[in-house]
Amino acid sequence: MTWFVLIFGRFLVAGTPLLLGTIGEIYAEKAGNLNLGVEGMMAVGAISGFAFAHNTGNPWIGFILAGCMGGLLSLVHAFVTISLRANQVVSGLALTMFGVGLSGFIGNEYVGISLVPRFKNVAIPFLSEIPFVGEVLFTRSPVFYIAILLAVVFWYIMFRTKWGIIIRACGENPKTAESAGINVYRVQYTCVLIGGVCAGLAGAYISLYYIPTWIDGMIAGRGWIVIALVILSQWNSLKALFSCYLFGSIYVLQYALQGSFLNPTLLLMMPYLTAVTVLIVDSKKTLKYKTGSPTHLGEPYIK
Amino acid sequence: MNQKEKFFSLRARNISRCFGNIKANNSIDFSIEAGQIMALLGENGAGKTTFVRILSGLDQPDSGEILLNDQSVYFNSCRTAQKMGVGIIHQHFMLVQSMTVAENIALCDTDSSFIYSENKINDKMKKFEEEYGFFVNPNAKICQLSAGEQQRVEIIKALFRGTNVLILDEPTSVLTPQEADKLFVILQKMKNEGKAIVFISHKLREIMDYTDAVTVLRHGNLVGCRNVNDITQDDLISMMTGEKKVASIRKENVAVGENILKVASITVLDDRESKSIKNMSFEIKKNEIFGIAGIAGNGQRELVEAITGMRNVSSGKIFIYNEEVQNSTPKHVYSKGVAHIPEERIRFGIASGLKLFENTSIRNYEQRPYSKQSIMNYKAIKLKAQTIIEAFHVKTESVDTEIQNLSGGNMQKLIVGREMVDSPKLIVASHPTYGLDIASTKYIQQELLTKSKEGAGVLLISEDIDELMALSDRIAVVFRGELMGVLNREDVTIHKIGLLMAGEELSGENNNG
Amino acid sequence: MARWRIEKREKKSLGFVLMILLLSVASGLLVASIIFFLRGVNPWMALTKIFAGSFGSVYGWKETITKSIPLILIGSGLCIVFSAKFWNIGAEGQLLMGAVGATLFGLFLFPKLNPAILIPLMFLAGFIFGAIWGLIPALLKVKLKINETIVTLMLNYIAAEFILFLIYGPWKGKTQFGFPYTDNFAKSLYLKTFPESRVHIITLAIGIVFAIVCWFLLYKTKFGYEIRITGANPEAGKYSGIKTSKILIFGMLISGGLAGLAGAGEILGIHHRLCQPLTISSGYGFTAIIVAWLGNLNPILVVITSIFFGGLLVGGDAIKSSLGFPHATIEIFNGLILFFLLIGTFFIQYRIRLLNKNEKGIKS
Repeated sequence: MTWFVLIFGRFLVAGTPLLLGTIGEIYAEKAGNLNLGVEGMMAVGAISGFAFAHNTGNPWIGFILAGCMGGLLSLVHAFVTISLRANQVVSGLALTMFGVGLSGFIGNEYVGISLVPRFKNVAIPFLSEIPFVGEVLFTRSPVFYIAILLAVVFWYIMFRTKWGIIIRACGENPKTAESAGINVYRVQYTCVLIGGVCAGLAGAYISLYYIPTWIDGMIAGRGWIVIALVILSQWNSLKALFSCYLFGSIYVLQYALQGSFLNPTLLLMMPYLTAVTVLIVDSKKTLKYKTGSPTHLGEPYIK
Repeated sequence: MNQKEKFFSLRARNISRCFGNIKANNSIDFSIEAGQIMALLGENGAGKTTFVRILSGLDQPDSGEILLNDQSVYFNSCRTAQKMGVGIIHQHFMLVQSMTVAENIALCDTDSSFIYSENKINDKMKKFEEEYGFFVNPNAKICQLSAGEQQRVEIIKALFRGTNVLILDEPTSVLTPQEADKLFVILQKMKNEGKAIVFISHKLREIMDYTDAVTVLRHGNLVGCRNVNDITQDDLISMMTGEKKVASIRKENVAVGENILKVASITVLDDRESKSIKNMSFEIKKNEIFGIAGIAGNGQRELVEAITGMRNVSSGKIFIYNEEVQNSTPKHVYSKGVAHIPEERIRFGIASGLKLFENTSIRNYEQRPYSKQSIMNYKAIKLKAQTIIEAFHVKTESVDTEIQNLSGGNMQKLIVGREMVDSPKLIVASHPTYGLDIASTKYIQQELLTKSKEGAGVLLISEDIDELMALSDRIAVVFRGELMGVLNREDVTIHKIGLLMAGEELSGENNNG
Repeated sequence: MARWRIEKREKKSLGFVLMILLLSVASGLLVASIIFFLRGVNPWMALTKIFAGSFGSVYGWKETITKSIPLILIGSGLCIVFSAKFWNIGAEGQLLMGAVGATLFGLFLFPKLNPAILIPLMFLAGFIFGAIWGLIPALLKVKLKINETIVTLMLNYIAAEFILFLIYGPWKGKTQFGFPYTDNFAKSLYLKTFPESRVHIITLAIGIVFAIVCWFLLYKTKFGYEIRITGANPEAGKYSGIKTSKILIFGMLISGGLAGLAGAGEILGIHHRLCQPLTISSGYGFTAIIVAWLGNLNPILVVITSIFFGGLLVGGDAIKSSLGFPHATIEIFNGLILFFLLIGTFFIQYRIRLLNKNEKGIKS
């Protein structure tokens, strides 16, 4: 039984940073901006979270400032792609290069330090006492609860509030949004910023809880998986809950499956393969099956 | 003015707006009062769209001012205009296709609460719908609605925002006659509520039947504003097209020769797969200029694309010198001696970013000496480019200049030169002088005449009736993909063309189609 | 409120464009220096270390050239597809698949063949595998109108995972003590290098030849003319009767194929086996994007920019050994230069015009 608890716990731990990154990127993309810089923002989030927590002794300070740093970086992307109408793909790549480089540069003096002020698991009263489920789901790091809560709240805002309608309109048809009196640029800036903050938090989760030490390149491609997971989740943060934790479990299982009948790397290929499949389904654009891909994704909006 | 204050008038004074060196609006005055329906009339390129964009805050004038209830206002965006009660419904609806009607309305509804409540919107919609007598299903996705229904959604949006002045850009162009009638019933009710309505239209009968007054623009200038009761359709046509000037250019009568182009009952589908050319037939003979008049969007583009090999026909045949060329390729048609001066030169005719000489070989680069096997011969192309710019008076520093550095007129001269330098047999010219200054216009018209005199047949598509009358031997008028009539030059009057353009039949008059 | 309009710039001379390109490199270096300074590192010293490491010694030059070989190959190919405005960001994956193809031929299909035949065959296999990998996004774009950027990006990671699958699974070497590589190639297949360096001469030669070929293709042939017309204005291409689908497919065959060649060259010349994707390519596919862009999509200029970025990569090693910073630090330069290139591109295309009082209209 404890073995199960441990494995399921690892699934959730591995899936949480992916979830944070994914729900943020969904916002940026829903507003029409493709930000391929998630990897870079997560890297900077991870190092700044680590550094601030290490130096202040408080993981929360690290966590919050990591979000700020991720947001700051995303604003550079926003400025270049929204205000200066640059190619979003290239800008995202630049952001990743810069972020990964910067994290390695800053993180140099922290290499090998084991973080003391790390996040601890918090048991939710009553709920955590439910056998098995309580231990798996309700004795987790605070960030886990925050991520789940954010995913639900983000979904609610996107599909049940006026803000959501506005954001989706900007990604579907920015001209229409503009004519409805919406400042499209402001909405896009905000959503890119949300994406950046979430990516920063995702990175901090990794360095403050998942692997509480600093290793250069510790994001290890998770930012790119996020890009695939956004498509896989069909731009819906409730579906992201499912796909991110599913992939989190694949991530964990790759070690368990090493040398077994099922080759784990083929599993690791899944998010990318399914993302391409979703795009192919999407291209058919039948009314019956709409994936939610924003029509105006990736194109600069020119008034 | 805030929304509470009662609206009584909207005026514009001395509105001017330039794009490059083209004056889209030149010192235009305009005025409308509450409870009035005003039509805005003019040919394409007269500056109507620019003007309503300025009026609704989508664009800002270079100079001039807008007065709302006699107070000066500045609309820095359409949002500001909307707040003050001025709203616009575009020809292409501003609706998010993948969302529902209710969501689209919530998007624009300034009052709606943070949490999106479909019920609240439905209730409010019902209220408006009862008041104005129409119904739209709030749960339907926009992409499932007909054009008329989508337009009604736009109207509801405007009502939700408390619009006092509603501007409609060619509202009936996408509607069936029955839907158009319904629209006017709604507009009439809005008028009775004390709202002001401005709509752009080309359809004279609509204007005569449903509006109170009409403002006419021509070439960016204000021609005048008249009360509909004081004028006739004929007056409107002459205001719109200009007083008959003595044309400085006039085609000589030439005996026409053998058939060059024969279009035999072709049907062409547009990008949305609806029939934009219906069973159309005509012929063009040697030395003949055949003009096609009509409001843009009545199938001209698809006709040109079908003839030049860019678009397939779904039925019918096209002959060049008795050889079938329908459903072939642009290169094949070009090799048969068909030149094509495309509409919207920057969008279709040139590859901006490349150099001038690279743009002169865009049509014939596969022929010798411009390329051999698969190697380009840029030397020969440069030489040819040099010949073209000299022969057609293209003003440029050299053939190495980047093409986008040329002025519009010179760009068009280059395209015309490129197409005409090798003495084509048929010239398909689509709005060849659109947006050009007078000198370039005259030059290009003269070139067309010269080529036709030398034996080429010309298919001239234009919205400029003066131009068509000056150049053409015969003029056909296209309306909704059909030729309404073909007039010989001696029978042509502006009045007849105007009627045909508006989709009216010529009753009892000479009509040899 | 300040009022301004963004307008298309009409005149842009070659000199202006070159100045903007140089300026963006300079700005990138400047901002990187500021970051170094804030971190308490003397920027001048860091820059000197980087460039001394790559261009300051014979050894440095050899390493720089080594690293620029794949950049030249990939960059030249990218010039072609970028000219058609097809955003192939999947060169990384195409390179990896090229390595797979070469390994398949050299280690598994024809290990006994005479090296004089087998080596060209391995390069050919690299080209074909890369080209096929590049063909996928091109076909998806042409047939289904699927945006190429995401597909090419995803294919990078699919290729990387595929290699991991091979080297941990069926292709795992029997003589490698359990390490995740394939067995080494036969010694006779190791490419000749420049004395005391890792510069594999054959691949370098192939790279330079292909840079010239690509330049010729792009600026001297009918195909190149069609590519450039399509890229400049697809509507004009349609008007003249150019088949866009043919252009994109052939373009991607070349671009993917050259990336595949680079992959074959890397494992034949340096690694002599199929190993971890991150070892085979240190982000060449992405760096080549900057290389092509900074080279103004001219394959001949790409040779120069490749050497510059090859040098930066080597400089990364230099600051690692001398200042102790991780190799990734060099990515700061790549990222910043790319950002400033984007900003520069804006100013090449547009200018900002302040509206004077007359044009403001009258405020309420």
